Amino acid sequence: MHILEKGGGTRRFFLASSALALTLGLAASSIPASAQELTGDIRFSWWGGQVRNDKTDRIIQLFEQQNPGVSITRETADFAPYWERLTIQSTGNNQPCAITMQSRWLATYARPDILMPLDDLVANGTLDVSGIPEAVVSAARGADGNLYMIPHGVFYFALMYNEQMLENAAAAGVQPLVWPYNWDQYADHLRAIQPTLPEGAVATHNMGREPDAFVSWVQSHGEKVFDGSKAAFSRDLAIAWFNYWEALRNEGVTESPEGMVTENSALVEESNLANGRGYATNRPPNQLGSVQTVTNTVNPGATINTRPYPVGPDGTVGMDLGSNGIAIGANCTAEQLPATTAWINFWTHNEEAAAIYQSDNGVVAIPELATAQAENPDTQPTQVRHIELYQQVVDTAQPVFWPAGGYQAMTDVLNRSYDAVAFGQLSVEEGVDQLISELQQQLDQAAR
Amino acid sequence: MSSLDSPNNPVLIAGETGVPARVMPRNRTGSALKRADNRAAYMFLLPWLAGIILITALPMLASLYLSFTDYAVIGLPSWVGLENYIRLFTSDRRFITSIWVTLKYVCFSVPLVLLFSLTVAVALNRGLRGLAIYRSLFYVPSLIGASVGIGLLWKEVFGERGVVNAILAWFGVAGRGWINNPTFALPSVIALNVWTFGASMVIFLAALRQIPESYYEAASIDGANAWQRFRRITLPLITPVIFFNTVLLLINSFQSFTQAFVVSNGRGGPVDSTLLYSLYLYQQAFQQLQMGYASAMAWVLLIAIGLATALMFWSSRYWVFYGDR
Repeated sequence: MHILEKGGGTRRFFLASSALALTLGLAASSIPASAQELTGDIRFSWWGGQVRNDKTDRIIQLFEQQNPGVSITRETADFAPYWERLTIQSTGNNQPCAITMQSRWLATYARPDILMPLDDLVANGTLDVSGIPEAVVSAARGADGNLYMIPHGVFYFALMYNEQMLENAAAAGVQPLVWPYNWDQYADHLRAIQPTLPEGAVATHNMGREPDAFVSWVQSHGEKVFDGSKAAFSRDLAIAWFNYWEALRNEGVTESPEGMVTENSALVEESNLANGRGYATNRPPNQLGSVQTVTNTVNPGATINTRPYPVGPDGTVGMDLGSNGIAIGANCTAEQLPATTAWINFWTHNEEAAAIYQSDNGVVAIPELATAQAENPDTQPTQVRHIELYQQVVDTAQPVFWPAGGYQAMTDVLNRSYDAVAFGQLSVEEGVDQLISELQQQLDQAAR
Repeated sequence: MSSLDSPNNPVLIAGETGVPARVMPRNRTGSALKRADNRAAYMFLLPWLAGIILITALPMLASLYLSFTDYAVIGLPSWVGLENYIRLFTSDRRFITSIWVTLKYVCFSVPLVLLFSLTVAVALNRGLRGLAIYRSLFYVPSLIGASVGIGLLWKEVFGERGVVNAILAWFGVAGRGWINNPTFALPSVIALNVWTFGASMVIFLAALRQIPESYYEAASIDGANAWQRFRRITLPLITPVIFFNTVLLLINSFQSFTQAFVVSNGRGGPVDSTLLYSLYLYQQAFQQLQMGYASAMAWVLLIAIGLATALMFWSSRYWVFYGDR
């Protein structure tokens, strides 16, 4: 009996212990895995203006609330200095753990001593890429085949235009422009709309020096921009591009060369589009919301919309497609890695975070989240338009593989070459020869 | 050898009473004190020494080494010998352009700053009431002129819809985007540099005030007019200061960067019209990540500045008047 009692006591003890353990276990398992385990300080860097900074800060706060053991140090900069800073940080092995990366710049940094290859982390489920289209994930690989970035936003390029100017032109008899329109039809549309514009306004910004427009032109004509680290477009096609814009400029459909240079670097507040001095220009559609906000201030009543680039003569769409994502610095320690991967998963998949960000830096990479944003009545109409246009053209886009230094080189050399033509310092042919030779020279230097 | 010369011979260091204050070896007295003094001196020098070695000498040596390498910042440098220097002078069209732009900048900027600052200094030296205020006002631009803020302001002033064009419009003259026109962009940057004449002016003013008034009185009695007094008295006596200012301005102008960087958004445009040497060097180093190549450019610039300065010193024997010689 005593033994039984003792035995009963033992059983009660075991039962009680088991119940306690089970209760504790259930309680523990109800806490998110990240919250019970994640600790440490990590650095996260991104580029952008104040609106994006505020959104990013809110998302970081949300993550830190859910993971009290984690602290994220914010590092932000404008786009151009962002890359210069990352280069210097990489030189000193001082890059952040979580680095916002762009497919256009990836080739420059896609090396195991700068960025951590992510394939193993994806394979063992540490990093979650579920729902991200395979084509978008593939574009985040380096030349060595390794995955270096988890994409969270897909960006594309398009044109913006003033809707009231178009309405006035239509009232004056100008035919509406229905996509898909080709480059010649677009030029004719601009020529037709010019006489209907207010005095001093021009139908279009001169895009002869703009890389995004040039890439669309090249690809819509069935050619590639790059072949590895070689410039692959033909001389004749580049000559046709310069002639296209020189013809429009000489007809008074674009700004003067000085105005073209000013407009290229202008803040939205100073731009011809926002101030009613220009009908159309090229700006990334993810800026539609901010352009409209500024326009409401400087030119009340005007509304801005976006439309795709023209197609080629045979209907080919030349639109480039890129992605922004988060990479992990190769210097990130094993202790910091769990918090870093959790942060990337949170940024990429968390619905609340996606709702805060509203595809600010590219349409959210997971199609279901993008559709949810477009259907959400709280989403700004400009962002809805941004997402809808993306969904309209994404299947026909042709993502460019930008070699190391390629985007920098294309921007620099195309700017200078077309400027020299527009200012009358070089003939069209000389300008194109300079474009091709100096672009190749810079690509060769970057590839060494 | 006398006993005093013996290495361990103690020497009495006595007070007035003849009582030895302390006994020290004769030869250690001087050297120990000397060593202690040296140690103190070195300790005081240490911050400067550390700075000159760590911040100046070592980076200079590193840049000399890097100028013979292909170094893309990311990754390790690889030795290429003289390739960077050969490429500079044989196949880089923009390098030649940047030299040409910089020479134009220096040739116009330095004389204009000298002329402007000397003129204002002479005007201020005529016993104006409130001289200190004027001096401060004129000096302010030289404190802020090389800043990014002023560069941005200048961009607006000379922009297509800027103040300059607004003023021209009052007179019925149609303006243009001065900063964004290849013909007028560099003169606009030069104008910004001339505007920062204050530092040279203050030095000139100090020199002018050192000239004895009796020289001018004597010349006036002899019938010299204002121009003759300036030409025969003022100018010769301030030639050392003109020389000093010229050398300073020359060195600064060769290295000028910020203003061209800001007004051209870091591009040196339009059409390379504001591509100053330092700006092109920066582009190679931090935009195209050709740090080895940029290092070679830096050494070429150093040599060029050295040669220009040496030329100035050589020429000074023919035109600089030192009163004590």
